[in-house]
Amino acid sequence: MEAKTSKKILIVEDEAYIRLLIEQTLEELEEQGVEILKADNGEDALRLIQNEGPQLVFLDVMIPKINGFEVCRIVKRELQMENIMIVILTAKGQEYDYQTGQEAGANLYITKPFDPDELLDLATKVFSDDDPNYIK
Amino acid sequence: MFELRHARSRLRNKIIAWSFIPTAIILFLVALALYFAYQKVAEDLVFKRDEELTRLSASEISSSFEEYIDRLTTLARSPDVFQGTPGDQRLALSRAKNQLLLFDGGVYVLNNLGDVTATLPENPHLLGKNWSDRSFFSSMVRTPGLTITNIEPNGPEGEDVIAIAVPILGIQEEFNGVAVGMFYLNATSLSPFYGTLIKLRIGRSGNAYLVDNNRRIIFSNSPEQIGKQFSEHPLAVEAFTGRVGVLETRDLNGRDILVGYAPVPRTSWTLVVEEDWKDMVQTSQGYLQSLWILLVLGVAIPTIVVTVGVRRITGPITDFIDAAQRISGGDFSHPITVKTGDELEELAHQFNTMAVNLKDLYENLETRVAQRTQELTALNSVAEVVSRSLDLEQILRDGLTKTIEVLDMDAGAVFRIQPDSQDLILVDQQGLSVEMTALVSGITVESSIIAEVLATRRPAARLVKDYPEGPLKAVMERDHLVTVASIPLMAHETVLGAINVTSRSLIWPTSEALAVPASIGQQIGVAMDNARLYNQTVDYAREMEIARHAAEEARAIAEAANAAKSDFLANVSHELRTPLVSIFGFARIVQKRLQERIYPLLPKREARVQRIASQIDDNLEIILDEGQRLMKLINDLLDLEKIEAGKMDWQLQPVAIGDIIYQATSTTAALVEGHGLDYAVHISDDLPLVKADPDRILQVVINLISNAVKFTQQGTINICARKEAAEVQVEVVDQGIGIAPADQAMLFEKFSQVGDTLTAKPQGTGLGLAISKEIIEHHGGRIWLESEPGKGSKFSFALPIYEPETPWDTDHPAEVIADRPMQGDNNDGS
Repeated sequence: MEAKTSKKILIVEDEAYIRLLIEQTLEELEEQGVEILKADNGEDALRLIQNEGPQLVFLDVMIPKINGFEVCRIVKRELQMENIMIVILTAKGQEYDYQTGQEAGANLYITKPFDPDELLDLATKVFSDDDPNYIK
Repeated sequence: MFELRHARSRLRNKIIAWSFIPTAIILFLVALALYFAYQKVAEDLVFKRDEELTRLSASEISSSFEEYIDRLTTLARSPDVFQGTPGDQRLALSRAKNQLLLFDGGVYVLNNLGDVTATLPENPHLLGKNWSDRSFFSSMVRTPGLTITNIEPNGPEGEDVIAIAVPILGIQEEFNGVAVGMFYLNATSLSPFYGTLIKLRIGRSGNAYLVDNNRRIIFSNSPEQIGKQFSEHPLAVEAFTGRVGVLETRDLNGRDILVGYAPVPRTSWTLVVEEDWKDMVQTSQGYLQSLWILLVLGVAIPTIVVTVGVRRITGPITDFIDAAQRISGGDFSHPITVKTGDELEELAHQFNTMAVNLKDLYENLETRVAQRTQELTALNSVAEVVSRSLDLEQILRDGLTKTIEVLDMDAGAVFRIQPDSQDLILVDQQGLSVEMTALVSGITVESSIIAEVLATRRPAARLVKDYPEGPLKAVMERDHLVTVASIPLMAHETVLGAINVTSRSLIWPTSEALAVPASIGQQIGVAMDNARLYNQTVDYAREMEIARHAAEEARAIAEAANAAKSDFLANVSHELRTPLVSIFGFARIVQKRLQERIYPLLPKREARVQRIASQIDDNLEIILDEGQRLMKLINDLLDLEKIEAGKMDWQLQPVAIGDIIYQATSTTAALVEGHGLDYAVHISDDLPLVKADPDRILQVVINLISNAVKFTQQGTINICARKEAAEVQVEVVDQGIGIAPADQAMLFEKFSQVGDTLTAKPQGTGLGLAISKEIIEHHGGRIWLESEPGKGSKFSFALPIYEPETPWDTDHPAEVIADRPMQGDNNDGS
């Protein structure tokens, strides 16, 4: 879809503070040339994914319009975009959700509250290896 | 009909079998015995006859010599011979030539010395010869008498001859010499001797032998045998004993022969006659055939007779069977006629009598049945009506109608008896006048016939004229009612009501007639009872339904409440966690930024600045710690709620406790070492598996270790696992401050924390042990604590050993999935 040359991260979160938090967490990478995109609902998220082609997406579940799991499913199962890493963020930590995440095709599953360092480490790994298929 | 024929033939067969066959067998056996006896007798006769014949033949032979002996005797007696000179003797011989010619061997006269004095034919050459050594002479010398020799070479030239010699006696009977006549042994010659023998026709079928004492054959009907030695035959020995006898044997050709033997009188000869056995018994064979024919007839004729005769017996029996069939079909009109003059006739007579009786009974029965049918039809129609409706009133009305009908009455009324008050309640009436109706509707039990019925619990009947005087009687008489009957309506021996019927004619209802209405009464009574019960049941059912509804509602409410609570908590947890993300997250970022960007810029030598910076850092640390604690609290609370509500998703599998313990220790290693403690793990060998949710048990072990760390200042935390009876027991032992007995009881409750809150930081959420308790108990295990203040504490839990019911592979118990990426890993294990 998009050129692999530009590095992009998409943050999908409807809570403004948390969006800000993640953005601040990833500031370092911004300085390294990684573009950070933001969406606050599932529809915009899907549009951005298709148009901008980010390599990494932090995807909250509880978002308006289309929920996180559904977005993930569409991206991974229907659009079959393999080279995109989707990290699901959720306040729920139940087995059921873990499974749903699995079925939707999510690469990673992080429960809130998370240690910002975790996200930074992850993102760093993704863009340093230059291997968009980095899996746990 | 097929069966009939079978029956008949069975009988016939039996008769044949039992009467005839034994007879036939006996006959047969007798015939057989006779046959053999006859055979024997015939044989004996044959033997006897043969013997006789042989003896006679032998006698005949001897007799045939008479002539020869006569002629010689005549010669010997002529004076010329016995006292004459040899010349006289020669003359005498030639004079008797004609008589003596038959001696083909010649006739010779010898003197008392044995010299030949005369010969015939003349043979001068022989005269003077001495023949005293010849047997006929030598024997004569001793005892003068007739001598008939064997075959001996006594001939003039020494040829083999048979000689007949007579003594020549003088006047004084002195021995003067011998006159001997000779026969040549030559069958081909026309010797009269042989001629005589041939004439005797001895041995028609077999061979005959005239044998001398030396066993030489004098004569045989096979001429070539003459002169030969009679073969050494076993019989030969027997035959020559000088007795008469018969032998059964085989000849040289294998033929069965009968051999008769007899000595020839006046000689030392034996006559042996062979007869063909078959010829002998030929005649008897003919008899034998006759015998067989007789035997066959003797079996066949009785067979026919019996077979035919049997019919005469089974014939009447067939008639019986037919008649019995007719009667069983209901046809009594054909008596049996059997005129055999025996027991069968007697039986037929009895049979007919029986048929007549049956006919009467039958007719009688038919009447009764018709009657009963009528009654039952009436009953049935009532029953039908009764069962059709559960409407009590309807039932009573119909019962009344039917009763009136069955009893052929004119009118009636049906009453119900109120169970408690015993009041009579008129339900319906039919055919009663208005006044009558009014009267009976207010009637009491005592004044009514129903009183009697109540007492006896049976139908009753009364004439109106027997009623006591009163308004009731008056009205009844006015209405021309003559009889009254009352039928109780009963169930379980209780009278629930009555049907009274009345008539204008003098039909006295007999107890028989009342029987049907009585049954109707029973039916109706039962129906009344049933109706009552039914109504009760309906009421109960209705109440039950209401109760059930209420219960349903209550349950739905409870469930809704529960669901609401779960939803609430789930939502709350989400809402609670969201701000925490910001609090924790930003606190962390601020801390990082300060540490990375600001603190390095602060003047290091400024102690106050450093102190402030340090304080700021510590404060931020506190925010972070408390944030984490709050997070753990929320998680624990949710976990507990989930477990209590039964919503926890338990992944039960066969699990090795050892693995879980190792994992727990590695997870808490940092914590333990951070407090300056160490731990020791003792897991016994061959620890059995338990069936558990590995993550939850891990949670429990981590919780126990964390607690141990919290309450221990120094030393070692020991973690042991071993098998105890049917359980696996795990102990976490610390050498910490211990827990006071008063506090121990509360320890597993929610939100209880022990420790001095002044000096010690609040640690943990207070929910850890409560959750651990829930988890362990859900697995069917127990958790408990032993502690002494100042000495330390031992927290233990036990889980039942995993008993495999399904053939799971116990070599590879499910491994605790350690590094799943989908958990929020916080350092203290939440």
